[in-house]
Amino acid sequence: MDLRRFRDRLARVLFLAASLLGVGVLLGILVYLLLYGVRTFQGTSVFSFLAGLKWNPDAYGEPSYGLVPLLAGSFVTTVLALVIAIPFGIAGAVFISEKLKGAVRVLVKTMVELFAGFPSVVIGFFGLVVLAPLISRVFGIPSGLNLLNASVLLAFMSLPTIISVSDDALRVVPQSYREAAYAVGATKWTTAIRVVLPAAKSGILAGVMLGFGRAIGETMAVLMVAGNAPLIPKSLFDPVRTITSTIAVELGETPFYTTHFYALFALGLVLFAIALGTNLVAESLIKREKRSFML
Amino acid sequence: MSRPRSRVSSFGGSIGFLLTAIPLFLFLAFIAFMFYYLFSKGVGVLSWEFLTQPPTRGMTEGGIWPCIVGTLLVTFVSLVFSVPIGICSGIYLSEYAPDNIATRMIRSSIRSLAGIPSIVYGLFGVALFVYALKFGMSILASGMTLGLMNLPWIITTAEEAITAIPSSFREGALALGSTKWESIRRNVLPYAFPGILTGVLLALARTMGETAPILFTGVTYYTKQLPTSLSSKFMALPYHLFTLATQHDQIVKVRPIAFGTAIVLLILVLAFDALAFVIRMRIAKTNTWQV
Amino acid sequence: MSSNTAISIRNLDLHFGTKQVLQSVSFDIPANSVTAIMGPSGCGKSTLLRCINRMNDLILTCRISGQIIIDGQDIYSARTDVIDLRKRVGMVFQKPNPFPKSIFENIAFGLRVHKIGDRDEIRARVERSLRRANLWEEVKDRLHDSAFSLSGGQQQRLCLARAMAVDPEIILLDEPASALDPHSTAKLEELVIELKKSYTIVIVTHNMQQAARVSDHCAFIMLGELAEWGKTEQVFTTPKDKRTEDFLTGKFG
Repeated sequence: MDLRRFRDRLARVLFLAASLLGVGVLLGILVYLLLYGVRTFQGTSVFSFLAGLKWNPDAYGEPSYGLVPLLAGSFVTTVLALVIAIPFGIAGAVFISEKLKGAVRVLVKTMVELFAGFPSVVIGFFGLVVLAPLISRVFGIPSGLNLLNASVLLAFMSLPTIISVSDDALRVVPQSYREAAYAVGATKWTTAIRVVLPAAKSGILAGVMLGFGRAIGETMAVLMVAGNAPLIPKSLFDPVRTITSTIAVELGETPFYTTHFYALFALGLVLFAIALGTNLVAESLIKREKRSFML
Repeated sequence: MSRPRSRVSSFGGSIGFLLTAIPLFLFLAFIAFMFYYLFSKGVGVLSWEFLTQPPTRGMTEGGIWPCIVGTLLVTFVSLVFSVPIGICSGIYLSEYAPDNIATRMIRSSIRSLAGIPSIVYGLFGVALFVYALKFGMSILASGMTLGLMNLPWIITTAEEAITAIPSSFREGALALGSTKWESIRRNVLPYAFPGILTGVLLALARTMGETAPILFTGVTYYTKQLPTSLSSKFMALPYHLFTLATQHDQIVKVRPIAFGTAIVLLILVLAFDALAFVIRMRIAKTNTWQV
Repeated sequence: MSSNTAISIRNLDLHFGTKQVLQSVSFDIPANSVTAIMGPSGCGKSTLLRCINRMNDLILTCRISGQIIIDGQDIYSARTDVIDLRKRVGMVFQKPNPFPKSIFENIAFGLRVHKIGDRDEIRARVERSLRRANLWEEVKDRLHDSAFSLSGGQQQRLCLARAMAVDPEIILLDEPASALDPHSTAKLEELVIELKKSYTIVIVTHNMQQAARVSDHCAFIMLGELAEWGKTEQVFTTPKDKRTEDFLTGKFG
């Protein structure tokens, strides 16, 4: 009898410990990023990091650790990707949620989910061997490794997230909203666009934000097609560097415990903050949508 | 007898939905095209030798066997860490956690962890496993880094699978005098197992394709032999593809091998996804208690 | 408290959070008889029943004061072993809830959990419980079929057999026939009357005809208060409390 109670208590403690580990990991990552990232400012000022226009850590004499070109690279590729992806994503979600049923719906959703599982190196490779030559030919430029290429790939990669979360947001809209519209003679289409879609706007926005987070955190695909030049892009065909690809390219070659090394952690901290921020906002948006239906 | 129809008003609607269907199907076509293109370019390279032999002559010939082994091994190591901890955490969240701030914080942390970019996990892995804990660049360091990355996915699926079990199973067991743990062990976990397995397989698939977390924690371009211990470096499919495509000095010559690598990786990933899908379908069929 | 009393409820108060659900409930439940707890929907009958095997412990906002004395001990004292209590006090729920296992394994579940008996003893006890539940003849050839292959009435008798397998002294039935058709209900009621020879039975019902048919004693709960209790015959023919009378003559739901 005591053995049974003992096992019961032990089980409870073990399971709680496992959960606390989850929190621990998050805190651990934050702590390490902070600890190492902050040491950057032993070698450069906070201002020149945050506002510096040049990222050239290996330059002789005056290395520069300016965040701006990298942040710009990340931002511009991501925003451009979303500009492409949002119409596709919302349209797709509307069709899947309001028009598809049964086996076809499952099939389509599965295909989308399967694509979400494609390794990013593979997608990057595709961008390298198909998209780059295509861009180069169509626009008559020597290299297809640029902002445009990266944005197109990121657009595709963030689509599954946008479609999936938007589809959930649309399905959560109570059926009574639709029925009320049908009852006054509205068509399915009108209902979908004028009633269901606006009702789901918080959730859909959440999907967009999560797509943003996904795209801005993407490393390998961007690394392979963006052109790898840490300069603020001025045209679609300029090569860019994102925060993620910078870390990926430079971490292996940077000697330990140098300012450059710490600066990479500072970059990681910026990324962490952006990802965390977009996730929290997305979460509260989803909650807001669900709350708005509880009358 | 046929379904009642109306005429004019649904026509405009049809155009509208067509407008939404076109982008979707374009996307689906793109996915299919990508797979088809990679497959057609890569299948020519595939052969038994390709899959079971190591690369030779500076990667321009030979196979990718050590990459396959390395990928499977490091993924396995990651799951050894994340699956037990993930399931325990999932059990806690669905069976024990009271509805208070602490629990909400735990859930929020887990969701946030899922959204953190993989390169950040790579940074953390380098700082913690490679240096602070002195594992060095190794399968262990990479495996644990990947384990941290897929832990939130496992926790989430485990929690969902367990919560889906009807509460009457637990109540019935408790009313007969079982302890809470006994009711979970006998009357919940066995039925949640297929759902948990689905989640583990999906996590496995995604982990195999990850490059950023292993970049500086253990993967290497070339080792003469297969990894002999947890502290060995290893080769891996995604990294192999990356190097062949962007770093090799004879990029054009190794391009076919790159295609072969890409398609092997893709097929491995899709195979586990398909397995998870099959299990999920079987769950939906045999869940008689959901009547 | 006479030696013939199985359960003695003293001044039981129950709150779910700030809402009071039971107020100063006190009455005795005699051994080897059927006691019905009846009353209109939502009056707290099921909650009261679930106090007897401390199933309300599962609800985190539940606060209880008062005593329930079984075998000379207050089951709400800190020294009580809840696991053992639930072995001695069995429960059948409103909606049949067989486990997704075979018929045999459903019955054997309690025995395995409490580590009662070896293989042969378990087999013997399973048969004995199924016989007591009047189910043996119907399932003896398919003990290893899924419990879900049984009809609703059979499933409920299975749940009863499952509860009896661990030899409880008391069996609690929470509106056991409310999900069943009239024929199955009749069979279940026959069974209950037969079982009181071996067990103390407490049955919750909102159906007063059922209470009249099946019980020897009954307690009438109204809005969380005990309005009246006593021998069934007496409560039904000469109710002492006006609320009881109103309920019996159909003034409430």
